[in-house]
Amino acid sequence: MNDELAHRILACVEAIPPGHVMTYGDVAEYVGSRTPRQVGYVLAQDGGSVPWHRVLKADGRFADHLRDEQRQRLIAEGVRVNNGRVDLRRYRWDGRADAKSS
Amino acid sequence: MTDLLALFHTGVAEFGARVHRVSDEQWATSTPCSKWDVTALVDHLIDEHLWLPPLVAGHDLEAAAKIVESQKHSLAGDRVAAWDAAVLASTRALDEPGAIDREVALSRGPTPASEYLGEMIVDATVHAWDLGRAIGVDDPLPAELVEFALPLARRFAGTEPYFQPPVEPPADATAQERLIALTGRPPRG
Repeated sequence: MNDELAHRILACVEAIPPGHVMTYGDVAEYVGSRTPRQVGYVLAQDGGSVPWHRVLKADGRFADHLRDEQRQRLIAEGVRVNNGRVDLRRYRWDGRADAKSS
Repeated sequence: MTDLLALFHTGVAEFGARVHRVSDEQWATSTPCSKWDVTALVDHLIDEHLWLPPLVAGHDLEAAAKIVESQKHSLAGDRVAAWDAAVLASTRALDEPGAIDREVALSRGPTPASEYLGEMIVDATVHAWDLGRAIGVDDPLPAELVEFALPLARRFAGTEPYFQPPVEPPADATAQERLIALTGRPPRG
């Protein structure tokens, strides 16, 4: 994977406002990546400087290895979690800059 | 017991959503709690969440106070980041198996953690309304939080220093408005 794509993935995740989420697939689509797996790979390598916890699996569940911290971070910023899952219809970010005040 | 933890998370999320929506110029805005502006209100809740981990870990008040003081020192500055860090620690402490079945050392004596948690849920609920009112976010509180908080608020209504004297709710008051009135705030004022 090229650095330019990794950079775009990180920039996209950085732009997700607090209290909102995207799925790995959403991010992949947004940056024109071929597969959600690349998003997971980039976040695992370099995700520490961006709000990695706002990126979820396609069904609204958490990343396996960071499940507890991801849930705790999302709760702190106002995302409700029911039975280990986030309601994507309610919290999914559509990329609009004004989503924070919606 | 799992339900209590879920309610706690819901209450934290309600308050947290509003913390993340405070704009730069709103931190000095007054709130429906007579003595607090937005910064003081958020600090009050941060404080509560800093106390939780040492208390649930079994420390007495004196030892817990020392831990809280050192935490506060390291969390000076950005109040939103401080809130996130405090909640990360409190939710982590409660994730420990059996945490909710322990006793905690409160100033009134050893208290079941579940009772302590229940009071924190009421606090988060009512203060989420306060913060929302202060910053212009009027989203309704989740019904399950209001339903949980109402009987507790009835029991403690008017007991200083926790609650101001209740005010008379409007005749057609919703459950949320009755809760707010019980804790001494005019729900539509």
